Amino acid sequence: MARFHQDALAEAYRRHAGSVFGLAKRLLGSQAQAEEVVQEVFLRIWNQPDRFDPERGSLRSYLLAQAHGRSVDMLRSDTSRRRREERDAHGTPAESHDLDREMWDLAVAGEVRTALERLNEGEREAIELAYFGGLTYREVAAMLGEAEGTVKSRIRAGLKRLRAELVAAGVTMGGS
Amino acid sequence: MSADEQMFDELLGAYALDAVDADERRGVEQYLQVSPRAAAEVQAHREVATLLAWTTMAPPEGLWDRIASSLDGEAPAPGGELARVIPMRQQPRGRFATAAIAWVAASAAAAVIAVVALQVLKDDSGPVSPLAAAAAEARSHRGSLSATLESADGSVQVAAVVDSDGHGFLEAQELPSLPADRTYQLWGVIDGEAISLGVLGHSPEIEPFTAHGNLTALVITNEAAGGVITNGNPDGAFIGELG
Repeated sequence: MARFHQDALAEAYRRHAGSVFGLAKRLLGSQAQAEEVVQEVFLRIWNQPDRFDPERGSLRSYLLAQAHGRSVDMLRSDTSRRRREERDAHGTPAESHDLDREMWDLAVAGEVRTALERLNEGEREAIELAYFGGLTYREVAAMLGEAEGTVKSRIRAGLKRLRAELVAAGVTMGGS
Repeated sequence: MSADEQMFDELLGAYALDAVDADERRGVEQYLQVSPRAAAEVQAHREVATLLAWTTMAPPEGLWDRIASSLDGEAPAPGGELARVIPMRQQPRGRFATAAIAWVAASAAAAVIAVVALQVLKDDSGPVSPLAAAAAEARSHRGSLSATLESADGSVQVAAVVDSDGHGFLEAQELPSLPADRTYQLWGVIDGEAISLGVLGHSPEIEPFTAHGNLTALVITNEAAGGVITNGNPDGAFIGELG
């Protein structure tokens, strides 16, 4: 029984660990920290399987949300923040602020990229900085010199527009 | 809608991206407990975020071994859902659009489903739930459009409203429940193309959706659970399901 379920976890890892690791690596910029996130996410679902409710979305969506939240927590810790600020101060392009197209080599990635490009610049920038940069909307607003309310609205409107574009392109929401 | 509700609504996108501070996160999470509409919106945003994170970066070698060695044999075993994987269906727009147009044309010709053109809304029935309230609010907006979707024999009618921002509500309580392995699916005819607006489940109630562009009609179909990208059997799939 235990072996069977470990096989199930292994299968979930096989299918989703690449995405979880890629997202964490993109946010944190550190392979070691990204590995830590992957470990935490998969051990958490092993130890607390009831926290995943399939009625509220796919396993993939759950794992990525967990990975994003944990990565953001780490990113906002003092140490990581200091390292990021040092990196930015040295003029190194912030990997998390630039969509790394090389990572997206599945067909669906093309549709996502196209949908992102259809957003207006303000919406796209706000979503990328918040999601891939791990910034709060207030930090995004300060960085862009925009009002906080404007950034909040752009994130929300941009996500709705993205969804509509993806649905129109035939990408099914809630996929695995 | 109260000022607090409006304030929390404005935070839903940022919340879904983990882009709010701790106090705001707690406030939003309390709000989600009492607002199914807001909870549905957050879930929709997270689904989009899941797609943003789509990547094929290979995890480092040996990472799984480290995880496996940490597994406690006495730990609660993950449920079957861990092994359940719903493949993401994705199809080029052109192929889908072509099939959708043919589908709409065939369906209309066969009178399998009734598609009612959108009209300027006048109805104002009272709210009975947060989603009903949101639908009523949408009705009250100037420029909102409504539709009545009918089964082939006219015995089942479903009302829908779409506001000028493309936010819509389908009042689908009258649809007969389907078996668990079936689902209703909502389609919008946008610029002459049938576009999926969402999978409604086998026993939908009031369902929010979003549609942008020149939306002229709405269609509900009966599909296999999980929904479809294209409807390959338009002549046989709907007769009797809504009637």
